[in-house]
Amino acid sequence: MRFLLVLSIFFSSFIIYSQSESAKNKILLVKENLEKVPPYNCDVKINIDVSFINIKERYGKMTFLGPNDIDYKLKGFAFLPKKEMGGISSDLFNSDFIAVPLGDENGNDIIKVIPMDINADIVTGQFWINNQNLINKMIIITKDKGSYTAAFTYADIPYNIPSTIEMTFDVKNQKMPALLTGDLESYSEEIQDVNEISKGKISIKYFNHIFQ
Amino acid sequence: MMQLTLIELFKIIKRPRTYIGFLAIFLTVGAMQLAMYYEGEELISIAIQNLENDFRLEGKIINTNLMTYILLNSLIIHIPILICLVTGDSIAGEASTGTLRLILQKPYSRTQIYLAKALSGFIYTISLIIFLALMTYVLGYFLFGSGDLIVLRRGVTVISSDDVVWRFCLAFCSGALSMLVVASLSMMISSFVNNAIGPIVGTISIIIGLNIIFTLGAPLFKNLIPYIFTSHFIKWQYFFDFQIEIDKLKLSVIVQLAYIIVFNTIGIFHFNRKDILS
Repeated sequence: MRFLLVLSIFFSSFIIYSQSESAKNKILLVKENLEKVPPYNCDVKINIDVSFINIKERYGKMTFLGPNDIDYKLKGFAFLPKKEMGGISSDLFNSDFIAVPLGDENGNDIIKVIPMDINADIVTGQFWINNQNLINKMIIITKDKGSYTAAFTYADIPYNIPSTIEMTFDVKNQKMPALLTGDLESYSEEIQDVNEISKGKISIKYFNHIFQ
Repeated sequence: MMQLTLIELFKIIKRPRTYIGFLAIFLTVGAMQLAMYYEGEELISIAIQNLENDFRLEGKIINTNLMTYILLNSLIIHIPILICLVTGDSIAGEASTGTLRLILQKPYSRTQIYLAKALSGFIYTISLIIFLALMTYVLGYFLFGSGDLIVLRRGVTVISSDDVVWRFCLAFCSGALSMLVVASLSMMISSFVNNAIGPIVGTISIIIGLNIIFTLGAPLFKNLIPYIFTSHFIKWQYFFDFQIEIDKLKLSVIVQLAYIIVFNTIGIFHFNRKDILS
């Protein structure tokens, strides 16, 4: 009886270990794909959907030199995500991490990635990866900047670069001081809960890629 | 009537105090623009620091459009003072120097004389607003260039640089209308007193008092505020909303026109019955 128990523990730990290894390998394949992308530039179209921000669609150009080296040249003023999603996943994959498989959903493997560094900004990330090793969706939980969700759409762009990224994130309601903005009428309006957190969405479309 | 107005305008042009307003705008706008040129980034970052926590802001925030928008806020207190310096002096000033009795001997009715003074005061007011607009926009353009306008009013509104010109034109028109109310008020007070200080101090006291009462006591006077003329001094800001509230702007124009008519009617009524003893 004791022998059977030890044997079952041994095998179950082996199964868990092998599942973690396959998940980690899948993540490493994703990382490999990301690293293959050469520098390029493309046109971008940016839409922002945040309750307190009124802005029309923005157009411009994006230059990609690396996951953490992306430059935008936009016509006019725009709000962009604090951090590029490519940069976030690259930072996560480049440090030591544990990958935990969580099953599959609509043909995507769901893998949770936990960085080993206790001081890392990212607490955890969950990735929906398809059979071509492309990220379809990811959720990133950060230590002090809330959570980010990103959905990726792919078209026939070389190096499997996403054609659209839809990013959803937590955003705090903003209330600017009336004396600073000159909006003295706001004194008479109902005071909104400034600490209320709502969801903001930034959608970026990429097209007309030119690879270097 | 035309001749009378031209005479009144000539008097305004001849008076040194007329140029105080233009000089004050020149110095204020110049100082403000230079301060923003050197310290603007820091000042603006205080206003938008919460936004910067959530977003990366791409583009130039400080530009001539933002500077013009900020300086338009001077319509609340500063520009009314400069307007009163001239319009408040037009009747009371002449009463104190004794020239009013002389003017009234001319073959014109008192109503015509009052209207000519009011019209010339309005022309001065409008020219002051045009000067403010040109100073803020042109100087701002040379110092900062053009760009999208970010309005921190009821959230954040970003208006493209090619969509702001008509908004500024209408905003300055709205501001000019508000300042005509101030000119009418000071003209009315001017017809009641015999020294030039009274209308200037009286008008400014009324404006500051109403601003304080209706800003701090806003919840208490909520239903009264739309009908108080000082609350319309900032209605030009409505032209920078994403969805412009036409009905509120129409009401604002009607209320302000009503004030102009009422103030001038009271002024004319009293001026016609006034004993000129000085």
